[in-house]
Amino acid sequence: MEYAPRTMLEMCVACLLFLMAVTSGLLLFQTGAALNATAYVSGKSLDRNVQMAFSPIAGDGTISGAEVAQSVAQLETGDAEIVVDGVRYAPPVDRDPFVPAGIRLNARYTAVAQRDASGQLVRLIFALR
Amino acid sequence: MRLIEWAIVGALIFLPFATVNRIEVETQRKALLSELRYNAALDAAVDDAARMLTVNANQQRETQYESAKRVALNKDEAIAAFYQTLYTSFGIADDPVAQGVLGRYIPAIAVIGYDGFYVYAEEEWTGADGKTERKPVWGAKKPYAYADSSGNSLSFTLDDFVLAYDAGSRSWHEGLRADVGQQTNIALLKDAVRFEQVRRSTIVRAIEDELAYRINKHNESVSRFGLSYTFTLPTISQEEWNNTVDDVGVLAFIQGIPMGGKFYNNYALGGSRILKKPEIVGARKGSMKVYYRSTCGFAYPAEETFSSEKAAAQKGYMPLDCPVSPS
Repeated sequence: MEYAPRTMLEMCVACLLFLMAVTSGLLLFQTGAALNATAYVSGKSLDRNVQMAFSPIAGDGTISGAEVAQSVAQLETGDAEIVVDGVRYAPPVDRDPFVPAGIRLNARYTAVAQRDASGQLVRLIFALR
Repeated sequence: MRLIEWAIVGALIFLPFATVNRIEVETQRKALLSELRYNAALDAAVDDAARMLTVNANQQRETQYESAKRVALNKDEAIAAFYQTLYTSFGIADDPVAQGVLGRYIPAIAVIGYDGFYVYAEEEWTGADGKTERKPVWGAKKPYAYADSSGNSLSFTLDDFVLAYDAGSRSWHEGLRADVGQQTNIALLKDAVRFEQVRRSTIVRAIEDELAYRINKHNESVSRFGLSYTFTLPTISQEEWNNTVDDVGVLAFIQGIPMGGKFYNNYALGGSRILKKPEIVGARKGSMKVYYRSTCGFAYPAEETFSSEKAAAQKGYMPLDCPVSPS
């Protein structure tokens, strides 16, 4: 019986030590997990795919009338021919007599590419949207 | 319970947590290492492509005199070099199946030329056998075009050279901005600062719009093959765009490769500039053989010219520093 208080004291100290070990172990684990999560989040934030703009950049495939006019003006031998609203321009285009009066420079045009069996571009068809 | 039993219980409780934590850290570490390797592979591929871009076998199409940047683009060689380097870096040079899989993660490649750009991306067409073919092919050249409110139209280049349509006189003019500005009434050509701003923003917007469209189209096509990743145009810093609009080059993207708990996304930009190496002149200064750069302006009687300083030194010439110009 005279050993009971001593045993109780030993048990209390053992429990205390155990709890301290559990707590410190848990904290260590949490620190590791938090670091891991932080590394993942920082990796995501550095991801160049994250769009920071309010309106994400998204081209719809249309091009401006200015691009159409300049494409026609720069047609050289070997380029694909261009059709703008039904008007055909075969390369090479003599630039001087070409007046882009029928092309609305600030409007948007849809573009359709026609290719031969090998995938080579043969015709570009622009139409006012 | 005895102390040792408590310890065993404690260890058993912690073991699963510690294991999960370790696995996650290991995955993260491997993902980081793979990312570094992929970055290096993409950079090397784009650099090789940019180098091949200006390799030209046709003497008729060499760099023209009006601008050192006006070079004939060897697009096909550049693309071949890009893929060859990329496949070699990924270790799939002899594996066509893996090459096809990797190709799915490359939505578009842009080649930035002097007066326009090209995009190499997947397109559909009808083949010789009547079946639908789907492969990456070159699109048409897109000029860096701009129109003002007066109906004038300009096509910019990577420098001051411009092709302009003057709506007032209904005529085309080609040349340096200052010269064309004198011949026409286009207000933009008379203001050098504004011209530079508009030129840069026009080039960047043209490339951005086209790439965004191509990448959106790529999303539609790869979803048919089971890829659920959404490709988007990466946010490219202003500094990199500034490099883009200065020299001909190649811009390539790799997106959506699964990597640990995330996806790999990157782009690389390779510029190609032709620089003339200064000529090394071997001359005699009194009784001493000296060599110097031809730009130094010395009037010593030249005996030989060399392509490098090393070659001159090997022939027994001593280096002679250029005179310091008064600042």
